[in-house]
Amino acid sequence: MDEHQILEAVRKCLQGEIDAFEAIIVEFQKPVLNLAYRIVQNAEDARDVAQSVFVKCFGSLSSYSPRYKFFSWLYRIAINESLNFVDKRNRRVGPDGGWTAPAAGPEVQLEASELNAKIEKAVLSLEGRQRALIALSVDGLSYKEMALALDLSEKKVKSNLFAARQKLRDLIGREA
Amino acid sequence: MIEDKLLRLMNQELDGANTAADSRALSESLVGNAEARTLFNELGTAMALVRGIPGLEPGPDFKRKVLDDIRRNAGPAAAKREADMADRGFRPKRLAFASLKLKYVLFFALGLCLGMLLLFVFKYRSGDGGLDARQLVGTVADTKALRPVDNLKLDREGVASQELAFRSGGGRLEVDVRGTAAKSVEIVFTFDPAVLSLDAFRQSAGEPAGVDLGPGRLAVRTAGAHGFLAAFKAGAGLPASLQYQVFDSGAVVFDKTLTVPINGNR
Repeated sequence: MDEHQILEAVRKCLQGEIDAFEAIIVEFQKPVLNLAYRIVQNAEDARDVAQSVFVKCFGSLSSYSPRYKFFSWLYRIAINESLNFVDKRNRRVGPDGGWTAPAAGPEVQLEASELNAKIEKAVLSLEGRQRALIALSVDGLSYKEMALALDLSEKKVKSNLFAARQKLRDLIGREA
Repeated sequence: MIEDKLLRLMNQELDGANTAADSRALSESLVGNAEARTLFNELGTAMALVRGIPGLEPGPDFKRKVLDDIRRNAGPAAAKREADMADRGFRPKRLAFASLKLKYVLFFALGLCLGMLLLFVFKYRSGDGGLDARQLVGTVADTKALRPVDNLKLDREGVASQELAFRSGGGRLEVDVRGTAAKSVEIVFTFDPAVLSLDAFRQSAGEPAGVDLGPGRLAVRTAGAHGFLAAFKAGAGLPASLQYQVFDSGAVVFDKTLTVPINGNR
């Protein structure tokens, strides 16, 4: 789906054609879900967050400016929604999110490996914005795209990402 | 101690942001620097481990759940917004006020202030206190300072109940109209424009009134329990006469000419 097709879908949505949003969901559901997952570090929570990201995205389509790439705008919503979720969860159950090794199930069997669990816990120990930067970096976004998604300067992105990566290395070293 | 430049190159390399020349410079620097090499490898490993965590696949019903949610939440909200806007006589538009950026709101506020300033200047320079239909806004004087000159309560079977209170003083005549029934009527004021001019008009909250202002004539179609306050300013030639008629479905149900002594000139 290129930017032109996305804009066309947005235009139809704004005219009340809710079904036109289906194409946008199909295009971005996986990256949004995984971005949320890398930030909230829980599969079920990530699904809820991703769902709410798309609902919010639809509700805010009138504020989308075609000057920006759609996915940068959508990522921004996804990051805010994920970080808000983490904040609320932290207030409820503490900063490790009540973290437990994921229960084995057909979908999460791979997640259950001990190393992955340690990495997830390490990522969860990062501060919210750092976690978002690591998630965006894993997704291969450029500094400019990360800056747009997080409303930071590129310089800030570089320095924060560097700090996040070093902290992650220390945490994984300690855990592993 | 690892140089800042080397740290920058290492991070850029991990982010895929190095140019070919940068990558070459990094490789050359790492060859002779064991500490930097270890750090670079560890940072790379950490990121590779994070990257290696298996991703999630959206469930087959993810799309349906989202669309259902949107239909449940956004659909009715959008329909209601359109209906509200249509009721108020606006052309339905999808752009919500809340979505406007702050700068546009500030521009609008600035424009509004400028407009009001120009209106003020124009009014006092021209010496013409009259308003046209587009300017039916303004501050109505404190009615406590005015003297009651007449009252009318129109409450007939089949006709909307309307209360008209007339007060005057200080070169002004104010009419306070309150509706208490759902039925609407039309109230028409006629006056000599050389003596009286409409100075301000304020309508109560609720349904908007239909207002028609011409030289020496003000017609207001009330809607429901809607009310309004009109202030007339007196020119030379006191006392002033104001005729008011109340129409229901085009037929006059009340007709009176009020001669009002207004103390002082404007």
